[in-house]
Amino acid sequence: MKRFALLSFVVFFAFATGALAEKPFPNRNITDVVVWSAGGGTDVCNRIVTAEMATILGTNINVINKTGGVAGSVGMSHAFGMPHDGYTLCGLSESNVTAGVQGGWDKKFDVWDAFIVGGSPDVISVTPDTPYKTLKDLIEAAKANPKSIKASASGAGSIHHLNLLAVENGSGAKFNFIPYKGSNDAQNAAMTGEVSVVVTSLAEQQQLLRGGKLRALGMLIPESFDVQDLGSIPSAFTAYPGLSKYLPISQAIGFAVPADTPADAKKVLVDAFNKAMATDKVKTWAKENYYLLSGKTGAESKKVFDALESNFAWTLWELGAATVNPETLKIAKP
Amino acid sequence: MMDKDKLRKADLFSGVLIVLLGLFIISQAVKMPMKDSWGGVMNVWYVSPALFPLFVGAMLAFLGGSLVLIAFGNVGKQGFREVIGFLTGEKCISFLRQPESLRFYAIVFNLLVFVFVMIPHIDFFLAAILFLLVLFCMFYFGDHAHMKRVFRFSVFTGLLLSLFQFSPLGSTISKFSNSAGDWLVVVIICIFVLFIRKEGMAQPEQKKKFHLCIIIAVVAPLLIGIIFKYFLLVPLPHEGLIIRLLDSIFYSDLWS
Amino acid sequence: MQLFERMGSFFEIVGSMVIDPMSLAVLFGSVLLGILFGAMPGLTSTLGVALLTALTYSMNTEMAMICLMSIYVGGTYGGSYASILINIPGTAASAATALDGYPLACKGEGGRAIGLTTTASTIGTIISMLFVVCISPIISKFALQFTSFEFFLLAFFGIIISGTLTAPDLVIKGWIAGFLGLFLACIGRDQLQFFPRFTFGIPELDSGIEVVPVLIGAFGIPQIIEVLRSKTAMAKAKELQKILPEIGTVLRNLPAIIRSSLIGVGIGAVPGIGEDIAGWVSYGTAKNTSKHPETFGKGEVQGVIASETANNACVGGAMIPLLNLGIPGSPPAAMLLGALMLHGVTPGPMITFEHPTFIMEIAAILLLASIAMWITGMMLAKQVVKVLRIPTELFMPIIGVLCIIGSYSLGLNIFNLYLMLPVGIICYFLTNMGYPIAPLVIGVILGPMADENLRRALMVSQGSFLPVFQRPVSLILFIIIVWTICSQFGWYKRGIGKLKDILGFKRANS
Repeated sequence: MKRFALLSFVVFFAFATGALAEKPFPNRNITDVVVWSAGGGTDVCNRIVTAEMATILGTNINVINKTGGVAGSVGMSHAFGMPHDGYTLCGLSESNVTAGVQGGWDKKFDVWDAFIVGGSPDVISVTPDTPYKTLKDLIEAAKANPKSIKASASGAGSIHHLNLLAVENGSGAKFNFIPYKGSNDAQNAAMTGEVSVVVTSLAEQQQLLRGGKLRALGMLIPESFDVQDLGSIPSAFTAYPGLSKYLPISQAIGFAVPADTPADAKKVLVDAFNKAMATDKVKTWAKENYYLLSGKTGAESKKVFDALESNFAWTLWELGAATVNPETLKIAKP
Repeated sequence: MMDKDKLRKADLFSGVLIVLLGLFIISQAVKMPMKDSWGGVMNVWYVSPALFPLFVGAMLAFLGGSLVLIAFGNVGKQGFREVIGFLTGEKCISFLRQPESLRFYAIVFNLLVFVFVMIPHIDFFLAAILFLLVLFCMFYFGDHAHMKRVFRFSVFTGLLLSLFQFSPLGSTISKFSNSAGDWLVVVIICIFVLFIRKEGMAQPEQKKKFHLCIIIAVVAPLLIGIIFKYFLLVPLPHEGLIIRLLDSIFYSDLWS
Repeated sequence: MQLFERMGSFFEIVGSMVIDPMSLAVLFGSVLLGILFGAMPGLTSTLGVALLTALTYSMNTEMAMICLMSIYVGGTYGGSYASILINIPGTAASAATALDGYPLACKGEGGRAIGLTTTASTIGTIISMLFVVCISPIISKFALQFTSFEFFLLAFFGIIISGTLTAPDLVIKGWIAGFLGLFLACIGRDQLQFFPRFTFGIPELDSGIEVVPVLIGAFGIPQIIEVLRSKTAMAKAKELQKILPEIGTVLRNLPAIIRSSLIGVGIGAVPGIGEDIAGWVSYGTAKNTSKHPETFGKGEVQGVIASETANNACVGGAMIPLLNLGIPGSPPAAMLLGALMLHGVTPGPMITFEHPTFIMEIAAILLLASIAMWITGMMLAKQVVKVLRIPTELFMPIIGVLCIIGSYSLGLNIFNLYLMLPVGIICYFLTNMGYPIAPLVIGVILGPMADENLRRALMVSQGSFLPVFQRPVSLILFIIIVWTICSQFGWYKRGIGKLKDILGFKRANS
């Protein structure tokens, strides 16, 4: 009896495993492997957009977080190691392009085909009790006493650090850079008065700016930006046109599939992505959270990521914080 | 925990290891950047990444050294000689062959095989079933001799599995069928069940216990795995045979 | 008066939630799920909130918050079950509970201990809820007093306390264990300059060592090996057990409960550290201020109450900076921040204008969740103790599987398992040689914080230690640390005794 049961069990799943009918993509659940932790910007972005895509595709999209490694390399390797069939997405952001030069990932970033949801522009702010009312005040003060003004941003080599560096390069000022673990910590340090200048994204800062805990001096994008209760934050480029040589370095949050994913699966995904980006839900969410939507896919997104990769890789290499020479990965100089 | 005298002797041994670890940490820490700028951050001695490891290494070496001194003061030269004698002599071997030590090896070996060989390559359910079944059968019924035989069996299968996973032979077979490893485990589970049945089960009590073992070993992983996979949406470490089967049940058109 | 207005709207919200059967169902369901999450070794409240965030996406904001907050509260409390009954802390938060909870369970008083922690946790949560309702602006000001120096001193204090807490043999071994933990904490990229330390070129080590695998490895694996190897039975389940709340015991310990709650709220409010440290600090304080510290570690009811009250009080504390400043006060609160963003609520200084009732809603949920937790806990306690009747040979291997999948699920990282097992085996030897394990785990939790903040503080002050004495909070922390260290030495106690003699006090215990 028992042996019979066992035998029938074995036969049953031998059949069942082989019998998955071939239906057009997608015929089962899609997994979105987010390489940053739950609750972060990349995670939230992915969950919002994939939820919309799921209804369009008529299938589930499970968002999971697989963190760790060098610049998210554990999650990226995992997603890349799964079959390249479009059923595994990799939720990532611009910071992942540094995995290569930091020795966690032995490929150039163009093995991915990215879908860029967008990002929030960076803003440079000071604590309200400092005397700097405009960006000019701040830069002049920094120039007068180089390295005397403390500026915070998340860790060395992060996007906000790169923005801060670009401000230094474009304006000739020198700050005393104090790194923090993340944007939250960096902003917290500004509120406690440990540092006077902070560079993070508008999405992360908006509540503090509007609540009067921080004072925005300039957007690090070519356009000014309207924020509720505050009016328009001027672009830093107006006061220092030289910045346009180094900026903008914008966030590019979204997800990616391996570039050699079958074209038909990719096409279905791109369609669903475009439709999802056009939904009111995504648009309202972006507006309320001060995100700029991008919606770039294919060749367009490749261009964005190529630029980011070369910028990040070479900046890190020059700072001495990269372990792998970008040349060995054939990353072009910016 | 051991008694005081033995403990002091063990301290001699562990203290020396701690000192060595401390020295190792220091030797690694001095290679870290002390002064030059790294990662765009101004570097002075107090910003150096070596600061904390140097402190930790120094403290470990110091505390380990003090421990050795305390232990030496307690047991003296005599005790020191005994420790050396124990580590090199027959006593050590007989200690290592004690039934209790053997049980220790059995547990640790099975945990090692489970985590390092099975979890990364074998379907989670099959791996867990085999792991549970072996541990249950080792300790739940039967005497020491029985445990030894089960242990021998598990060493054999463990080595077989690692041979399969880490040798070129295994990878060639896996090219043809990527669930070859899973099937191997299925076969091992079947052989194991037959092996235990043959393995004198004189009293009906033992038979009853054995059946209980099988039921729990199958039900527990299924319960845990299904909750994680389908309710909490956590992908399992390796998704092979059984999970594909469950997937096709859970996501089949039957439900929609 | 603004306070009355706040109270008014608070009770209005509580009322509306109570009469809605759907909210009640979600409330109880989530609390139960949270307790189960906490009770299973390896599954923490952080993981619970993270996993449920995805599942609550389709709910409306209020329902999602009920669900997530209840998981958080329940998970923090549920950790005590595993600590007390099988000596494997279900969560890092309840690691301190195991020190006295397990000895109690060995005496056959496991049910009693669980009953007490249930009541203590509930009181802790409710007190922290009062802080959220009444004085959250003041608390968030307090949170802003913490700059790098204070963070460093706080971390240092935690490490010091852990070294003195649990030494079954020589005190020096506690220190060694602590420093071993600090060494593990060094592994990975350093947070300031991104320099890889002790990674030996292994990319998986780059992001550092996670706490959960170390916690499970250090507490779970040795216990599994030991129980199976030596064939010792685990704690006993007595036939007739009082699970009643024991009003008398609770009242007698009321000062301790209130002190622990205050510690919990305070530590919860400090950004970045949460329940795990709150439990330890509260336990340490209870031991250091107790008239009979020698009973701690041998089944002292006060120890269990202290750590469990504090870790639950931490929940409310952690919500205060989250809601008022957008800074999460603990790891699960960071997950909650993400969940709130998903639902289009960005917490911060503007939240009272954008969502005027939101803070009161959270407070109401906290209150209801703690009541639901008490009811569920009281019903569960009796059943849970029965777990001990399962033969250990069957129970422990299953715990092993749970530990393994638990440490895997947080980062979905198999490498965590490769780490957990060796740590577990080393800790097994360490335990057998009389080294306490708790300081090692605390070292791993607090090491990065101490390291990073000390160096950053010096960077900001340009190498000067002077700010320690110029800032009020850091000065207080410094004095507490000096006092804690001094009170370990005989000469200090004798000195105090003599001083008292000279001043004409009666010597209390000589």
